[in-house]
Amino acid sequence: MQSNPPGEVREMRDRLLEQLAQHPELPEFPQLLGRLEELYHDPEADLGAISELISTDPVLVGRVLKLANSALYGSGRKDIVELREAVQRLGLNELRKIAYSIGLSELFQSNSLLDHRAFWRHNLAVALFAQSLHRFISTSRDLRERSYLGGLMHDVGLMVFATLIPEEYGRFLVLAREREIPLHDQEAEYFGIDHAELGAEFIRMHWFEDATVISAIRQHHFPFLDGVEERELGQIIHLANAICDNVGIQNGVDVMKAPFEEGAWIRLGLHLEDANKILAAVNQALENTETMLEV
Amino acid sequence: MIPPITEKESTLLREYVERVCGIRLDKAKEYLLETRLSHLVAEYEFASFGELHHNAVNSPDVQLRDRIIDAMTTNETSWFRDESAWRFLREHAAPALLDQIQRNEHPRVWSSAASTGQEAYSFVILLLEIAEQRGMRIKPDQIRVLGTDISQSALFQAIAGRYDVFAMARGMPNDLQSKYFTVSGRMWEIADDIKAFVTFRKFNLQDPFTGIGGPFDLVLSRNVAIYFSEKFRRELFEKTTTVMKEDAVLLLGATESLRGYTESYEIREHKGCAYNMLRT
Repeated sequence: MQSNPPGEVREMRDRLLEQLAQHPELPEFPQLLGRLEELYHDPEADLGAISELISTDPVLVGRVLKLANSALYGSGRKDIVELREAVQRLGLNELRKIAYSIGLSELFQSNSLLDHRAFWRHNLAVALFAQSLHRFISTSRDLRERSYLGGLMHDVGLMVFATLIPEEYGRFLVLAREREIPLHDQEAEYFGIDHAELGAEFIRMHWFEDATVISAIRQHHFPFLDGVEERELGQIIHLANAICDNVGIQNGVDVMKAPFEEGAWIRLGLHLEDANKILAAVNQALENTETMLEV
Repeated sequence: MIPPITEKESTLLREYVERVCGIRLDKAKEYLLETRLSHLVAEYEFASFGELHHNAVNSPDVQLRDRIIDAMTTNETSWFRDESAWRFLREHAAPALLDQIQRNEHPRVWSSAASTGQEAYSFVILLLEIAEQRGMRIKPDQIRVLGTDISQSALFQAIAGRYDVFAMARGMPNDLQSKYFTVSGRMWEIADDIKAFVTFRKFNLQDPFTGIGGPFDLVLSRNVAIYFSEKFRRELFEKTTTVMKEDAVLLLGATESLRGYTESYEIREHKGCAYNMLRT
């Protein structure tokens, strides 16, 4: 059993939040993404301005071109060699997602605790699958775009743990994997904070202030923490994560599959009759994830 | 933050849970109320456990009651759970069903608290194993297994048919694991050939049994009734007779018995396992 006295757990939590505020090793939000966000929210911005921004990052240019020609976006259409054409084909929404997926996955490096590839594969699959879940529920288009970002970043707290307290978290994981208790519950019991809350706090402090996305990340294991209006995206990410986990697309950290909240399923209005279609959508999301990781 | 459960709330909820689920919790186990029901307090945005109780008792909507039953009865499921029951199924019930298949009778089996699918899938594996020993090949159109449960998220996992190492370790023998499962990431996925025999559907045992399908030749209702009140148990056993074929078998959990509830069945025994045959 790893449990600490309540006083120590509280201290641990305070210490982590303090470290979170100061720690210089935690990556900053990439400038390019910051600039892209400005353009995304600027009704005047045109695709030309976006091409120009992307062209400042040659690695991103290469991957945008490859993706525009990949099975995911370009199948059957003529090959594109110019960035401008690729930008046109993909459109701003898709470009934004691609830029986030590539930009964020470069931020945290592999370490002995986390398998970088498995971690991003899981996060990317949850992002893509969270979007396709919208086919089975009725929500706004805005939430659909946000579910990609929420999915992509939902487990970032694991990276934060591994960066802030690598040795302690490593020792914790060895014991945690032996127990059939969800990892986030064990984190809360041991550190006074779980990766969902730590990740949400990290993003709020250092990256951006989209309250809906941040709330969804904080709630991704228990989507009933915030007020009713702020729960929907959390429930979508919760289900996307639980279902991806369930079919074996895990983050490389957990051994036990993430528990599934019946309330999230009921409140989003999913139907069991759609189960096979939902499972097909997960497989499709996984296939698209592999395409995105390959380029 | 939800305020911790008070003594009065704990007493009220323990009484309520005993009334609707038949689960008797002594004071030492009241932490179970708090851990299992706190999720519902948060989900329904109740200010306290007292408000949960108030709404469960006074609301005309039965959904909350069902959710409480689901939360309190969520049980560990395992493969081939309970040795004596599986000996009976292996030596008696499954061979009888295979005989029916050979006579082209298309038998039906119902797993009435299917949860994440282990019982239904275990039974199909057992059937295939015995069929193989007999040199028989059976196909999904020759026998149907229905799995029902009150929890849709559990049933979704049953349909997905994937299990983590902890779930596999509860009763799945190594040889059957490698024969009927494939690895999918860190999960074990049951073969499509097994899945094809089973249909999972949401069903609340408190509802009328019309529309459930059947009639069934074998009803697995193990450790289901123990969660409910005396009155409900009697109703459940009687309702079950309406969806059973002549000579069909109802199998309850090892600690359960129909004695004192109904005369509609004849209680028999197979090597220490009691089973119930519908009287004709």
